[in-house]
Amino acid sequence: MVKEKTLSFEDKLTRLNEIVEKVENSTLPLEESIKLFEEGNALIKDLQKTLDEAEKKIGEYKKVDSDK
Amino acid sequence: MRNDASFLTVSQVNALLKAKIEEDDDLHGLVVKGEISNWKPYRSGVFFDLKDQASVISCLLWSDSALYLSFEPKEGDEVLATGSLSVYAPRGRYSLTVSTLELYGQGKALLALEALKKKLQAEGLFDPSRKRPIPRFPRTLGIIVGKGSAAEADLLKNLQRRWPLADIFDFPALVQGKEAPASLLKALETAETYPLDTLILARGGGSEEDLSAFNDERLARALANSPIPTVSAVGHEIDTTLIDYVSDLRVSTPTGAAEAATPDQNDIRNGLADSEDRLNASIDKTLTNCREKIVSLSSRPFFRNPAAQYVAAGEKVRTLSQRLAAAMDHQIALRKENIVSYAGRLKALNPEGVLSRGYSITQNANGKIIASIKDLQVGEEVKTKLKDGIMHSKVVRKE
Repeated sequence: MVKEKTLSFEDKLTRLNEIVEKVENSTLPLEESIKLFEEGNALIKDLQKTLDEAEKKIGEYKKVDSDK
Repeated sequence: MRNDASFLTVSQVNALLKAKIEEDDDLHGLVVKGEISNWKPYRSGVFFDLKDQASVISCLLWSDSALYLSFEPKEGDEVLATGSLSVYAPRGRYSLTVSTLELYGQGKALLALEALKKKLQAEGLFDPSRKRPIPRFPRTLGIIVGKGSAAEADLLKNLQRRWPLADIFDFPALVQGKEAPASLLKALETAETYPLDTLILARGGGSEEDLSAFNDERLARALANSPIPTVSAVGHEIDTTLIDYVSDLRVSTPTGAAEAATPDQNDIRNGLADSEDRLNASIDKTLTNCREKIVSLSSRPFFRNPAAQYVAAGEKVRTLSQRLAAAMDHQIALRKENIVSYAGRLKALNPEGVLSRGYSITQNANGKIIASIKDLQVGEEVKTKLKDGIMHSKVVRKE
């Protein structure tokens, strides 16, 4: 979970895809499936939250005038 | 009557003229400025006139040359025609056989641009191998656009709507006029001091001249050497500027640039929802499988009648205990028999038993049993134990 903070959006998305593939395509022990399922759900919530929070700053941008 | 040598035939005059004109190097590779009129395309080529205020010259453009024109000539176009003079002897007419036509004014600029393009291309600035991939999920985006232009508004709106996660830096510049190249260059230099994942250079459509700033050599070189992956969107689909050639990705509109530089958050959100559905479906399936396994196990005989296991075991215990008891009984009986036999044998050895059968035991006064005649002294008093009493006697004699 500490690691997750430092991962970029893209990294998290990649990890999520990996998890979905794994849970879908392999015969993992139940405990492991549930662990991955929980990690995947946490990632989905996290990514959605990131998008939702970013939405709030629509309209903000930095104008850098180089003609001074 | 004159002799034959004193005059020329019409054909001879025309042939003479044809030879004079067509063999004169000064009349080859002419660049003639004029206005197009009487443009008449045929299968073999186009016949037209070039004229100025005072004069007209007939022109011929063969169809294989016409294929390579860079524009669609029309009546009244001011053009530069490159070609050679030739003579059609049967009619005694001369005309300009045109190899190429270009619009006057643009002509020179176009030539210069074409030369510049060739130079940069030869230097490898347009090589596909130089093209860097545009980051899929940019965290910072820079845009170089016309100040207050439609392209600026369009880009800002679309970039933020599509990918609000990116921080956007707007570097407005002049995109038209004499100052434009320097202004664009300055904006690019400023942009390069920011940690940008992707840079977009955009300008809406305009005339060839309007877009000329994007054909500036210094700007093109600076962009080619920029450390930031760039997307260019200059003019319309048909306009390709040097900037478009050196950028990492070329698109035709500012909207297209926004699409190329960012993912659409709606796609990402749909993807997340899809991932969620797939995860849920998978875990449901796994759990269902587990439950089915449990059900199938619990329906096995052991779980259906666990007592059966114990009945069998009980049976075994009972059999064994019976066998044990029987064995014990047998052993006890054996011992009993032994005891009886020993008792009989003991009884037989009991001196009392012997006495009862008429034998007797004689002892001396000290209680010593007299077993031999040598143990006796004549006159000695002895006692003899009989079955039912003791007899005292005196030894009278020994034999």
